[in-house]
Amino acid sequence: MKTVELDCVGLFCPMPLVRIKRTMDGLDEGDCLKVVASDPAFEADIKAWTQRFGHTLIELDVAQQVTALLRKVA
Amino acid sequence: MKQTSTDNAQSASDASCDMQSLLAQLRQCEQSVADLKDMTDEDHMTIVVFSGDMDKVLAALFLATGAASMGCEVSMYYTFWGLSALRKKAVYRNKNLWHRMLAWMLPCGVGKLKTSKMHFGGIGPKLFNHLMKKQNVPDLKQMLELAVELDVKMTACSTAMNIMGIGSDELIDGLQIGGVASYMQRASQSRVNLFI
Repeated sequence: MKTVELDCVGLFCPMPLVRIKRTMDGLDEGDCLKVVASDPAFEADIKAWTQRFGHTLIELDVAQQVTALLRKVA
Repeated sequence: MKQTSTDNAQSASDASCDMQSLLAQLRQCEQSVADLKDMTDEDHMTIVVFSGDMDKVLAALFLATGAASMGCEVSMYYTFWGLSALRKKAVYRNKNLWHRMLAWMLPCGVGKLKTSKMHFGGIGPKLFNHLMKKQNVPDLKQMLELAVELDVKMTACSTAMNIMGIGSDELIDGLQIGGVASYMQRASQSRVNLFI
């Protein structure tokens, strides 16, 4: 089990999703991914993205930037 | 006493009858589920890129790469003006006058596309690219490469190529040449179908 951090600050849709998908593909089941992004669409996007793949959204912190902590499921 | 045993026999036969009808219903249900599965759309997306405008092709590529990152299998069909986005060079040999004229007039590749609004004789696309670069947004060429990298299937429409006199040697590598049948095959399995 490891936690990988991904910086998507300054990137706009769909680039954060492209990067998250790529990074997540390289992780094993149970690993976590922490993403920080500044795109205003990211909060809604990350919810939809995790729901679609069935990963767990452990934490979602919306301040000036959005920070999401995901756990990979299968 | 005799009466009771007849009752028992009767209820046993009722039970087996019930069981048989239940099994029949179950089989029917299973068949219906299998039929429904066959009819359900796959998680595919198809985009027809008809426009050769820079902004529209860019929007199509944003959608395609985003959908691919959501796990969708994406196919893009380039037709008519959209073919300009896939051109890598202009070929004039062995073409009639009209086709030579088209080869000269059509934008050659994503870098030469015009904006649908505010083109201002070429200033529009330059301004767009400047703003995109400033905002860290990939340009059209990078988006096209990214789409290919994400396994977005690119198909060029053979009829439009024929009408406009564009040969496959003029288009970027890794494309498929297809017609309505290949589009329909994919589109009919797609939940999302766009025409841009």
